[in-house]
Amino acid sequence: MNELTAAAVIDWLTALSKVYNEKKDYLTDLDRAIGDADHGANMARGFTVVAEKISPLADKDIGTIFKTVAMTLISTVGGASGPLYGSFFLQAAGVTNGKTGLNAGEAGTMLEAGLKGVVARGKAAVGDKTMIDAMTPAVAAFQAAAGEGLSSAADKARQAARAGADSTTPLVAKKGRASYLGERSAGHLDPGSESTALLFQTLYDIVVK
Amino acid sequence: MVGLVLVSHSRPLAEATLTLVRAMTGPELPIAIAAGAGANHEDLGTDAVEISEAIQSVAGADGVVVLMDMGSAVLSAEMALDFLDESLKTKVKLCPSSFVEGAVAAGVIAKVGGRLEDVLHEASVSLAQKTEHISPDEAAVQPKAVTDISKHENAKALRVIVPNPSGLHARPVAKLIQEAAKFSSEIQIRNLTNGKGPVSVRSMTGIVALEALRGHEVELSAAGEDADAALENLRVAIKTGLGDSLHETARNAANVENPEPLREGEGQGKPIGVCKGVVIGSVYYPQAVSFELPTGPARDANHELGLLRSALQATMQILRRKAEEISRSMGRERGEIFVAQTMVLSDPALMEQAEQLIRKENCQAAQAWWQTAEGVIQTYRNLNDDNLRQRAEDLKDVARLVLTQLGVSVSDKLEIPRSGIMVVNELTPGQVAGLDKDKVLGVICLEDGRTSHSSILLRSRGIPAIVQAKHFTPSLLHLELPMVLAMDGETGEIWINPDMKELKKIHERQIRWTEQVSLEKRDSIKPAVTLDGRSFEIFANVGRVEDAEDAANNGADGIGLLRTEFMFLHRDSAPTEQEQVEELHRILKPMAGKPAIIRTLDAGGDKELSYLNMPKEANPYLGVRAIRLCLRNKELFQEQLRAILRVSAEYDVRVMFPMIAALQELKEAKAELQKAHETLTAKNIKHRWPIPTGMMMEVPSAAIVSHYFAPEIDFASIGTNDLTQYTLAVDRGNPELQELLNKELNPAVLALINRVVLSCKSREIPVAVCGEAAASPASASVFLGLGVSELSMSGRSIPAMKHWVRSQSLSEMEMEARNLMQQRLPYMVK
Repeated sequence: MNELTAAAVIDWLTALSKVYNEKKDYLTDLDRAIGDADHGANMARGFTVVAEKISPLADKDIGTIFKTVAMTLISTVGGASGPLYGSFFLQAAGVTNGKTGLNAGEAGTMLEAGLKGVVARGKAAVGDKTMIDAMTPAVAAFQAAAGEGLSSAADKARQAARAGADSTTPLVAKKGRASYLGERSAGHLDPGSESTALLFQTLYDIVVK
Repeated sequence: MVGLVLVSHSRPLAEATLTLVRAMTGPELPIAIAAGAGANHEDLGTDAVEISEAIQSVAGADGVVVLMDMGSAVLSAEMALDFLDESLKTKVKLCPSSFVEGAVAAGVIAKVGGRLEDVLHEASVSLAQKTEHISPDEAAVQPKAVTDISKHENAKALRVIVPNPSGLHARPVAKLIQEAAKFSSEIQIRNLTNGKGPVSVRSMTGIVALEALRGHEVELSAAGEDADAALENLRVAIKTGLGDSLHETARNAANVENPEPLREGEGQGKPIGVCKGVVIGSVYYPQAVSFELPTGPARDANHELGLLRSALQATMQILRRKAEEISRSMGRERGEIFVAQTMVLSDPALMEQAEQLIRKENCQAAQAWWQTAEGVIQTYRNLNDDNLRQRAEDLKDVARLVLTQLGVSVSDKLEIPRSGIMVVNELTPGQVAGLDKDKVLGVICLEDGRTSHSSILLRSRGIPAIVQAKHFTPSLLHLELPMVLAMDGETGEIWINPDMKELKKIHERQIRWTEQVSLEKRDSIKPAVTLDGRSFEIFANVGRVEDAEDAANNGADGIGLLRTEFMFLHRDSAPTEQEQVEELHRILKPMAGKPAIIRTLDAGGDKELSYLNMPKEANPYLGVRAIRLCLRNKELFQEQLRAILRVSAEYDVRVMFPMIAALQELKEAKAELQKAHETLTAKNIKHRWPIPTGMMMEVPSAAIVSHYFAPEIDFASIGTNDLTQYTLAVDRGNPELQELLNKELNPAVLALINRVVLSCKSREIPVAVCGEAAASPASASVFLGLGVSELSMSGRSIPAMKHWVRSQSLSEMEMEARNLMQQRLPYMVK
């Protein structure tokens, strides 16, 4: 796949709905260790509605699809990941308005805008044990490999996201519910970074399908 | 008014917080909640879209403060701001403080009209007093530092002691801030006892942090135009408790010492009878009905819309809560009634129509709402379907609830359509006072207690009543109407739909009760006879028609003192003879058939008559007053005497002269009476003659030589007020000397009374006491013991006095009085 079409975007998000529902208990378990045990349920709830809302949007531009995703997540997820992923897609929508397909470079720009949205909303930095730890290296890897094509960029991105997520395990949380645990949050994988890793893994799966 | 939005992960938490805030602010403040995630907001979570809608629903010209709990609440709230118009966004502030404390503080300041910055600031520092309390050294956030204004050159200050049993805690502080908000001056308060402060009197957290406990002295200082008024107003407000009962501690202590005996089952709240009476009747649930809608156009349509939206939201919450409560306690089916009511409210057509009225016709929220609701109610009523007609009643109920949420005071006067038993949740004293006794045969309160003011009032109004009936099963509040109920206000028994056998028994009980009541009623008419058989006449002091009616209703044996001053005061000319006859006739009529002693005009002293050109006197009480005045204005005197004689043709009237100091005055007054008699006789006007004639014994010079006066009179009446004043040389208007007048029967005064009684007794002339002291059993016992034969007092005091007399023995009173006469010290009577 050389272009991330609107249909592919819908596939990506629909697949994510399936993934988050499958991984619901896993994400919740991660969250139970250092948070309020709702991340899996929240993501599953949000993306289930996302999948319903976007299925009739195949003929729309990607900006419209992302905007619908953003608003849906914002009002259905419930937890902090709602406004955070909501911001991701809202900003992503901002750079994809009117577009029905994205080449690798454009996709990189889209991801970067999303990342900036999350950072602006959550005010977290790399090392704070949040989804940013997975998202930042993933977006950077995607953009670095954009010249190699969409599939390669998505591949590098999912690996970077995975590594980033894993890197959160020894960290002490500085943001979110887990930060109340302080030192005790170390030794656990951050559930937000895990859902981000899943997001990039699924993107890759769709691109290479 | 600044609006508030409460954002929480948890719907119940947000609703409970709303209740806490409303407890401090009442219903007017626009508050919306945005809480919970998932379909019914049942999951924990927040929703930025809901938050932004909530903000818009309460947004007025003054802006909105958003309170959040944690985590996603903050992120979602921030996100919600992004959804707002730029113009609104600048007027919405997110509060960084803790949720509950911040919400309460923000609510209080918003309610008193605080600006957006004030509300935000107070909410932001609302944790300070808790922090200060728990770890004073680590208090992280301090209330806004203020420049001590007491040092300003124009500043005024005063001090006041905190009387509240629990000190200045949140509730009275909120009241204080509300009072202070009425003034423009800068006002500060400091605690002189512990040295804390000063803080602005507009700062809730600041004042609470003063830790002003009961007995602490606080200083209020103010600078500004209305500083004096502000300080005085706040001083009075603090002194009177700022809405707190100042006797809480005392009352609690009394309860501990005197616990109510608990009968079996009473621990779970057995109904308690508080006012005797057996009643059988239909049950009615009264509805508070009347209200006054605000008038005039709205100033800002958006503001009014916001008010209406939050009122609707608040009403829905109330109904939902009710639904849950009722479902839990009485089953889902009953709970559904309230769910149905919320559905009536959420009909979008209602809001649309109200919105049109607000936008197009400039209506205020309450006007628009009621107009809309009334229209819909009427439409429902006109339908043929019973179910839909029932919805009209539902809508009427909830529409009123919305009105109260909009700050319209719906009058709480309780009315029932026909005579029967009224079942209410609780009653305010005002509601008891407003009850129509002809319709309300009995009252059952689910709440309230034996000693509540309402219970006391019910007793004093003689309405059979039972309280604390909330645990009675089946619940009395949800009986299928119509339903017959019987109650015994003495035993607290309640019967629902009693069968014939029960009814017969209750009816017998009812007959016994009515007999007892009429017996007591008859009793008050009966003479007051002591245990040892001596009968005393208890008379009434009367000045106006109402007094005479009171006298008649309370079993007065006659009018012991008919004051005629009221006919002469506050007018430009003296009343004519005919006017006096008519007025006397009106006053005498309620007591017709009983003796009435009419005292001739006792003007002068403190009662001035403009039309007599009375000269200013240095010592009016020692000047031309009463009989002295009449003997100098003989025309006036003649008119009054003729009027009195003329009514004597129809009523058992006697004449009494006031303030006789010398025998010559009495003789002169009697000569005038003789002259009036002759005038009437010449004109052939019927009157009683000879007419019994007496005098007031109120000047010591007369009392001391009362035996000179006795042969000239048919009766004497002792005015203890004046007699004491003249004997002790104490001006009764002088506040410094009231102790001498009010609390003591001075031995000299007693000696004079004794002398009067002795002088009169030998000639079998009755002696009455008509001063205030006559109504007090303690002094009355002395008077009767000394030989006084009549007491005269306000009509309402008579039943108690008669009851008391019947419990006394004259021989004991005589002995007591004799002992007392030996004492040289004042006799404390109160």
